[in-house]
Formats: sequence, C-alpha cells, structure tokens
Amino acid sequence: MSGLLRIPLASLPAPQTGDQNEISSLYELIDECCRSGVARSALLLTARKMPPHLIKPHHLRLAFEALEPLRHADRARSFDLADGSRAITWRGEAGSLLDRALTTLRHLLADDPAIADIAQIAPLYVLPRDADIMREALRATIPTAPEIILVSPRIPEKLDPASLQSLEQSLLQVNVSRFARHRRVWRVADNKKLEPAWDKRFLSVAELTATLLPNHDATADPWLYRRLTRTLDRRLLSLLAAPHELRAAGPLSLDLNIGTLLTPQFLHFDSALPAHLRGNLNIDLLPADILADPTAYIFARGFARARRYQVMIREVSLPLLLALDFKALDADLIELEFTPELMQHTELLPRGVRLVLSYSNHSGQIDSAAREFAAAHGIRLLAPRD
Amino acid sequence: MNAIPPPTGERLLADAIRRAQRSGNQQLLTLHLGSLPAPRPHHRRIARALLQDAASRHGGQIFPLRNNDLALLTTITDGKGGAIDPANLPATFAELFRADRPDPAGLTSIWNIETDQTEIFQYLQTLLTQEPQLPLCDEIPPPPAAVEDIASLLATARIGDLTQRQIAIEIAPDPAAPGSRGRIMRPLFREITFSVDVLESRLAVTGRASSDPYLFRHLAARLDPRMMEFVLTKMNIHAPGAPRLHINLTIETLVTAEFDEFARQCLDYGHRPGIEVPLIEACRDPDQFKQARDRVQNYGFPLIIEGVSPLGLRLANPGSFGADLVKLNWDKSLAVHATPEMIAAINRLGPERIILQRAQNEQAITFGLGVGITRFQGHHIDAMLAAARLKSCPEGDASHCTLRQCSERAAATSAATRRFCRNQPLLERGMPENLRQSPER
Repeated sequence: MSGLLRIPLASLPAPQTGDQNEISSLYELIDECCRSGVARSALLLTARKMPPHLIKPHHLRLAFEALEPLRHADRARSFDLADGSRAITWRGEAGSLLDRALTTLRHLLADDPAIADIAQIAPLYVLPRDADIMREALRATIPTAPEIILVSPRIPEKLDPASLQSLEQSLLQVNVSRFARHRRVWRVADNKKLEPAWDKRFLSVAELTATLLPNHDATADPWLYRRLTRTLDRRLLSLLAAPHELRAAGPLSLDLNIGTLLTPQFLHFDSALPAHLRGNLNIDLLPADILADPTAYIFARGFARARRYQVMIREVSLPLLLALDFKALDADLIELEFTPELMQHTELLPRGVRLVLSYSNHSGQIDSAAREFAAAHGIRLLAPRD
Repeated sequence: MNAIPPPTGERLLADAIRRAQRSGNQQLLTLHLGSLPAPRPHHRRIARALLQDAASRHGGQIFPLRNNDLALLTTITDGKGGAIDPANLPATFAELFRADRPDPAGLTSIWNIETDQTEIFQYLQTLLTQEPQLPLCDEIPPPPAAVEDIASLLATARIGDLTQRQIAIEIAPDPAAPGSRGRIMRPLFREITFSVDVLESRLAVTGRASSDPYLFRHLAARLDPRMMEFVLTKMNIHAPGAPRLHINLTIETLVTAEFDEFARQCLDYGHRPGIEVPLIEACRDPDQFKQARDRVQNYGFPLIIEGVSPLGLRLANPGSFGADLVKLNWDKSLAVHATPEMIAAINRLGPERIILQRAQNEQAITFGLGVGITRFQGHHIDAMLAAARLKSCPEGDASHCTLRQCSERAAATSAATRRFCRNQPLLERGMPENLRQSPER
C-alpha cells in the first residue's frame, strides 16, 4: 500500500464522497471567487429543508424545474449534491431570471405555513462576500463516509510541444474564469499605512494545468511556457472583455506579451474597457520579450500611451538593472525584484520613473527588509508575492 | 456579361472628397504606411483602430488604399481631443513609428479638402498608376507539434545536409604598408548553424518556426546535443590548423554534464570553440546565464552574445553580461539613422568587442569601419571572399565556377557539396593568403 494515504473524511477541507466531484467543483468555484474577486451569485435549493410532505422525487423534480430559468444566466452552472440538494451559480446579475425562479418556488410552497421566507429553503449567496456562510451550508449537505484513499502525488512531467498543443486546444474551449486570480499591489500612504494601488489580474497556470493537463509542469520548459502565455493572454483578455466583468473593477494591471498588445483580441478588449478604467490600467511587459522584438515594443508603447495605458517593465532583477537602459526604454513604471543584494547596489536604481518593489512574502524577514528598503529609497508601491 | 469590378479605395475616396467639398470644413489625413521600410501587419491593424476611433468621435470615414496607405476623411478639429484627435494624429503616429521610421517627415499628410485639391488628386492619380501592394497579413507560426517533427527529423537525419557554415573576418590595417590606408582581411572563425529553412521545407511545415521566437528557442535547445555531436565527429577539429568554430548553444545546455563532456573532448583535440548565446536568453534568466558564462569561460572558450539588433543595443547594454564579444545585426537603419544615441551605444559597448553580422552589402562594411568596428560576418563577406578565391585560383581551376557556386561550396558542411571544387585547400582556408583590400575601401 505504499504511496497510498488513508485520511478521515472529516479532516478534508472539501468533501470527497457521494457526488464528490460536484461538491468539490462547487467548493473550488467558491475558492476561485475569493481569490479572483470575480463576482458570482449562487442559489442553493436545500432538499433536507423542504417540508416533509414535499420531499418525494416528483416534488423535488418540480422544485428543480423552478430553477431552470437560472440556467440561462451568464456562465450558469448547476451542481447536484449528495443529499439531493441542487445549487446553481451564475455570474453578474440574473434579474428577471432569478425573479421567475423564486416566484415559481413560492407558488410550489405557498400552502406550507411553516415557510415564511423562501430563503429558508433556497438561500441566495453573493460571492465572494457570502463565501463562508455558503461553505457552512454546503458542509451540512455532506453525508458521512468512513474514509477515502488518496494516491500520493507523482512528479509532474515537463511540457513538450505535443502536450503544449493539446493544452492550447483545451484552453480554447474551456471557461477560464475559474482560473482567474488577482494579486494586490499596495501603495504606502502619507501616514505610512498600506492602501490598495491596483489589482494584478492573471490566470493561475498551476491550477489550469492541473485541470487541463494533469501531472504536467507548464513552466518547466521556459520557452514553451512563454509560448503558452500568448494563448493565456488571449483567454484572459476575452474573459475581461465580457459584459459587466470590469464594470465594478478598480485600477488593475495585466501581464501581457508585446505581441498580444498588437492583436485584434487586445483591440476588442480595448473597445470593451469601461471608461473609468481608461488611465487606470497597467500593461506589464517582460525585458526578454522587449528585446526579442524592440521595434514592436516601441510601437506598442506608443499605442499604449495613445490609449492611455501605462507600461510597466516587470521582473527586473539586479543583473537586469545593469543590462537595461531605462531612459531609452521610457516605461511608466519599473517593477524591481527585491533581493538582499539589491541593498548593496542602490546606485543602480532607475531615476525619473515610478518604481514598484516586488518581493516574496513567504519570509517575514524578507518582507520587512523589502519594506525598509522601499521606505529608505522612496519606493511607495509594493507588490508582495505569495 | 462581364462582372463589374468592385470600386477601389482610391475611387471611393475620390467620390467622397467630391461630396465633402459641398459640406466644407473637411480634411484628409493620410498615413503613408506604404512608405515604411518594412511595414508589418500590426502597423496597419493598430493604425486603423486609432483612425477608426478618431472617425467615430469626430465623424469621418476610413479608406484603405492600394499601397497599404490609410486615409481618413474627417472634419477639421482643434486638437483638444487628445491623442486621437485628427489634429494630433500625426504626432501620435510619429511616436508609434519612431523605431520603424525615426524621421516622421512624410509619414502622414493632412490636406484641406477645399484648398489642397490639386495635391490630393495628384496623390490619388499616382496611386492609380501603381501596382496594388499585397495586403499585410500576419505570419502564422507553426503549431507546436511541428517543432516536435523537426526535432525528431534531426534525431535521425544526416546532419551535414542540414547545417551550414559562415566565415567571420577581421579587417585590419596592412602591416606591410604602415601608414597607408590599405587593409588586410583575416579570417576569425567559422560559425556552424542549422538551416531551419531547409528543415522546414523538408517537412513541409506550415509557418516558419523562426516566426515564433519562443518555439524557435525551444527547438534550438533540442538541437544542441546534435550540434555538439556534429562538431566533435564531422568538423575535423582535431586536424592541425583547423579553423576555430563557433556554435550556438542554449544556456540550459551550457549548464549540463553533456556540455562538460563536449568541452573536455574539444580541449583534448586542442580546440576552443566560440559559444554563441542570444541576448534574449541572457535577459530571460540572467542568473542562469551567468552560471553558463562562467562555465564556458572557465574552459577557455570565448562567449559571444548574438542577435543584438541596432535598437536592442540602444535599449540594453549587452556588455554588462560579461561576454567576450557581441554580435550586432546589420540593418540599413544603422547607416541611415546613425544617431548620436546609436554611436554612443556602440562606444559604450566598445567597437572592438563588436562583430557586425548579417553584413549584406558594402554599406555595412563602410558603416562598421566608420565607427571603429573591424569584425564582420554576412553574405557580403561571403561574396567578397568567393570573388577573391576565384581571382586567385590557378587558371583553369576556377574557369567552370561561378561566384555563387564558390560561395555555396564554402558555406556547405557536407563534403558532397564541396567536392565539386577543384581547389579544396583554398576553399577550406576561406581566403587567399594575405588578402588585401584596396586603399579606396
């Protein structure tokens, strides 16, 4: 039994029995909403809370049919849970679809005086705000099970061209919103407190690979990974260009390839960008990408400025501080990677451009050293990484 | 019944201008994309999007023209509408095309419909006399699996047919005539490369691998072991007086045990090949590059950063990576727009550390020598050396050869191609002894 691990179910964060795939997917979706900040709503029709005289299969079928209009909402997904409950999630506002579903449910349950509010049977959750409450409600739908068996993880394989092609094809078909993530960049205010500056939006490559091409490491081959990022760029732009996606968003930044900036997909995103984000969106570019096609960089930079985007050169490490001519690059922002060695070479810090200090916040020591370094050199934008 | 040909952009524009005369307060803004030295599909796409935006906000219509120019017929504005206000578009386009066309004069024209009719119709008349240009289309990179096919082919193919060599030379003052303007040419090394074009055409790959720099770098890493094997087994590096070879390897390979073994065998033969690494690899992972550079230099091999474009030399300082030499790509913009910034960038690196590669014409040599660069590589050098070989070949030996044949045989790594040459020692040497250039050069 080597490689197998027995774990009591109760200790798992997400349940794995009965309709375990369904409920696991629902848990994942809630987690994603929390990580990415992409708003969703969820309606949970709880079977065990139905009145005793209405729990026959045909009653439940009628109740489920009442929810059918919600399947037409944006990115609607339905989850059948192990205790007979059903959850429906969707993105944005369902408006009249939700009204129709709730009205039908109310009609079904109208004769039961014990049900004062339909929310007792079918609570509505707004994610990520109500994530904890919904997780708690879902926990109650899990039947108990003795134990499950997990197989110990295998070493992931390196991506090769064939698997990259397969991954790219899968990416064209899958809804990538579940892989959307955000990471906050902070500004040091005058009172020394941190306040949000903008959100970096990206797709989680690790989770996306784990889902679409399990047991592969997409980043192991650096150049195939760079190629993959082009497809990811297009998918991210298509996600963000969806109606309402950025309607309530604050300032943000996107890691993009220069080539992506000059594609029809970016032009589509640009035309869909809400007015309040014009001037509040950074395009983050890699130095190697710039030097692979410098004329395209100059062109893209001009285009970005014409459309009021700000250009940031990201992941600038100490050797690149020496190797790049920041005056000639003429970017709006430079993201420096903090390492303790940087403290010995402060004369290399670019002048006349806003700096963002990026550092790993795994270690409290690095975290405080980075923040001290930033304070000492007037760097007011901080980008801690997980 | 003959089909009526669709109206061209020029005719539609001419009609629109005649109509616009009645309303007045109209102007024609033309972006002369056709005049760019190397127009690219994204130039047209982005420029059209900006013009479309201006047309939507200020009222107007866009006309794509047969030479890839784009014309916007719109109202005359006051320039208060930001970057895409028609009045400001010339400045916006000048910024966008700064790298492709440093001198913005002639990039855009603005004509008043009422007062500049003669110029407008003269321009349209000229266009109608020209052949239409092919539309600018995006190059489609091959699917990733095509790279797998190329790598698989190389694993089994006879590699000599798929590689080529090119000589690099140094042009130095003639020691036999000190004080004169005469110069001599000295061979420096021969670079061995895979001919990806040959590989792709053999496999009938759709799209060029080199059009996707990332796929191309992955392919390069897959080719490294075959290249090292080829140099050790087929290039006679153990022969006395064998010329120094240069090969391109990726930094991933340079930190492996396979490279150590290759280096040891080279040293056993008394050969120290130059190792060339592209600038983008050094920038992608500077720490790994440093590790790779130290290993190469510890074996006593020269390390060269290659693939530096003229603009790349302005945006970066490749000298900071600690390589022995840097290969700068020749580009005619170097000579046409040899700005003080460009000259400063060359001086910052040091002309003595630069090899001007892709020297395709005499202009490259003139420019290089003018800024102190003395090392060159490219087709023009190949042609110069072939001409010198033909001239010095004993009478009769070269009578059946053309300049192109001599050049191709010198570039071949396969003995099957070289065997047609009747003067193998001269072909192998690359150039006659003490090749002198005329003082006029």
